[in-house]
Amino acid sequence: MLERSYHLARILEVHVALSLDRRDEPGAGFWNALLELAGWPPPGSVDRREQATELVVAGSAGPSVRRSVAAARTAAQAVRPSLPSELYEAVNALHWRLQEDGWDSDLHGYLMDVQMTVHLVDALLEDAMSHDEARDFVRLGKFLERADNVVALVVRKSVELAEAPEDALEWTAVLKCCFSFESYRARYSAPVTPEQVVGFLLLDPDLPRSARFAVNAAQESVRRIDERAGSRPRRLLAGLHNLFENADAAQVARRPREFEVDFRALRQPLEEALAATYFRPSRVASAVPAGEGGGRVPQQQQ
Amino acid sequence: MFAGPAQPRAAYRRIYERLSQLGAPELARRHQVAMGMLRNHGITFAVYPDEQGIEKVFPFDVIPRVISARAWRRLEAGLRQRVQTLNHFLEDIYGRKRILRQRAIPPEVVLSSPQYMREMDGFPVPQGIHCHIAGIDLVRDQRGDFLVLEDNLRTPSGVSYVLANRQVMKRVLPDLFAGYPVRPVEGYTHLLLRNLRWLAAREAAEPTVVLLTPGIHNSAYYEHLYLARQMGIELVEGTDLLVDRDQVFMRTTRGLRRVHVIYRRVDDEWLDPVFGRPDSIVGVPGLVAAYRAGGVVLANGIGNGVADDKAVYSLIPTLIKYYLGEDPILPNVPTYLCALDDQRRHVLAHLEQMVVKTVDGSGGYGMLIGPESSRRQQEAFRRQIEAHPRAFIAQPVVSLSVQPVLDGSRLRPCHQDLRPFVLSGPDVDVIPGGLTRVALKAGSLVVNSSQGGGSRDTWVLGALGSGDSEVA
Repeated sequence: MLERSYHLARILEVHVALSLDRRDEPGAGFWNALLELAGWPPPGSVDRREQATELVVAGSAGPSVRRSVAAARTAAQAVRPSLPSELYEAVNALHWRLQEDGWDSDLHGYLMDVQMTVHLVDALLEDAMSHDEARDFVRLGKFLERADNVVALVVRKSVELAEAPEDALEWTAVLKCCFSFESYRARYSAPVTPEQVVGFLLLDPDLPRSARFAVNAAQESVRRIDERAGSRPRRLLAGLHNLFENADAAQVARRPREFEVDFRALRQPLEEALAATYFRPSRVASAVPAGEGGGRVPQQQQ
Repeated sequence: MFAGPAQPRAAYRRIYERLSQLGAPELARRHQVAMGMLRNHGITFAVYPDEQGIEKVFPFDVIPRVISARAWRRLEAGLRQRVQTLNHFLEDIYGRKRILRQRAIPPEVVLSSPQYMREMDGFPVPQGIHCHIAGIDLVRDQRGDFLVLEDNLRTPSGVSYVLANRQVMKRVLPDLFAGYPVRPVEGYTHLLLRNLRWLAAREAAEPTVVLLTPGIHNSAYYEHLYLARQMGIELVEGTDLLVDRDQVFMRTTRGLRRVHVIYRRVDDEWLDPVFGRPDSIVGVPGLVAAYRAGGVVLANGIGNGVADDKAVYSLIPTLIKYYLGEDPILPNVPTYLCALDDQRRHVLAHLEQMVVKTVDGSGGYGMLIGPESSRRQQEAFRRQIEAHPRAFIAQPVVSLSVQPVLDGSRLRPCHQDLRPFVLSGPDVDVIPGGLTRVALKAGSLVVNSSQGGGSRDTWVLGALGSGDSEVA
């Protein structure tokens, strides 16, 4: 959920800035598109302030930034013994800061706080937490959420901008939504083009913000969690890995919806497989081979 | 901004209402947020004589300057006309010298300029463009007319502040922004990159463009870094480059890489120790020879200083007529050339009423502002002018327009100027906006950051609005 709050904060910040660069007041189409990026139904209002309120705090049609952080905090509470104290405290402190009034007097500061705290949590995850199964589960959730967000963003923006493929400012905004503009510039010293942006954000193997990188990272985590090569999560992740490995940027840029359909066809069953394999205790217990404890829970020491 | 006490002009009405609603304490808080953002982003500049330390946050005022669509159309046309003329002029004086042979202007004014580079004679620059990036300083007089104060055609700086100020305003006062059809400035780096690549389009399909900086101690280093990053080009120092058989290469961890275009932010004299100052450690030996041989493109070209020499500046209305056959759209501030006997006599007789400048000075240094000067300072300048008349020009004090700045919890009027940026490539593009610099010291006319100046965002309106008929 932290990854989701980060994504929401980022796309909102970029789109508010974009709306202010327009000569006219953006209409329903602009805000509908933003809400769609957040995975929400079209808004009832076309007012910038009301839209910001919805996405930041209210969340009447979906999880807002504030609600996403609250959910992340609840999730962190559930696994608190496995987390470094500093990591939990960073999430908890963010949650309380976001509950305070006055977010609208400094929206940028509010959204930056979310983003920087998520970066801090990521750093604690990598540098302060043992690289064990607990960390791999956190990473699995984070990277799958990232892959979902990036695919949805790039595909929807590709469709939206199909009429204006040369709009460098809009495509720059897409890169900024994914925290990837400077990385893109480090790679391409050339005008921003849709095909390169699509290729970079979806298919680049080295960009930590790309969907392909996220899928590969999730696959690595599952490999470490689950040593059974034939397990359903591993097979589905291998399918996703192959989808990105074999995709062609030009073709994806031309037919983004088709790519998204292929992605969802694997991603949805993966979600179910992960839940069934690792998060239902009876299935976990039955999955442990005989002779390695037989699924018996050890007695707690008094 | 105001037509009378508490009577904002139409273009500023919503700004005034919104700022009034916010109230002084909230406005002061937002100003602090803005300054904090600038500091955190590292948007600072270096002041060399400051013993306290060399890094300062560029002061920022949250009240934007508004320019109506109609006023901007005229400005844009005038700036385009001026930069086209300056490019024709540079092409001519380093080429056939038609204007000098025909004595359409006094040749000695050009030929005696310390910025005139004879080494560039007869060198055809790529695409015929000498001045790829220009910053033209404008002031507005009491009648509301824009006048050109000076041209900056060598390594004009300040555009990063234009982009940063806009970012800050959108974040600190988004509601204020939303009420106006402000034209975006974010396209600047895209345009600049397009132009720089275009310069080498015949040489390479994917040319390598770099930005050459003097290094981290340069006052505009932040800008160099910012522009390089936004364009995705390498930021290099002189030691990162080498010249071999009239081609320029960049040292990389994977070996040498050919460089096709250099956006250089190093002045002519420091660019190449073989060509300019032998003690230059920020330049690249052999670079100018490579440039002359066509092995690399430099932006801006070498020798542009002659066209922004303040003595040549006084001739620009004549140049516009000569090269384009048009009347100047933007007038100059009246200027006296101390090199000419009758004009020098007039200047010396009225020193206390004049602004005296060195012809190649910048940064607000080496100036005499007559009405603010002491008798002793005037005498010192008198002696210098008599000894080196070619080195000075003088202008009457222009009563600059004022606009309030936020000073704690109150508003205080301050003088301001405007530096729009003009890019020359396949087209001549004027970025809709510019750097509005504000003289923050009470009563001061000097807007330079090194002398207590600050800046504010400049809003060019994109559509005919209620403020269009008024002076904004």
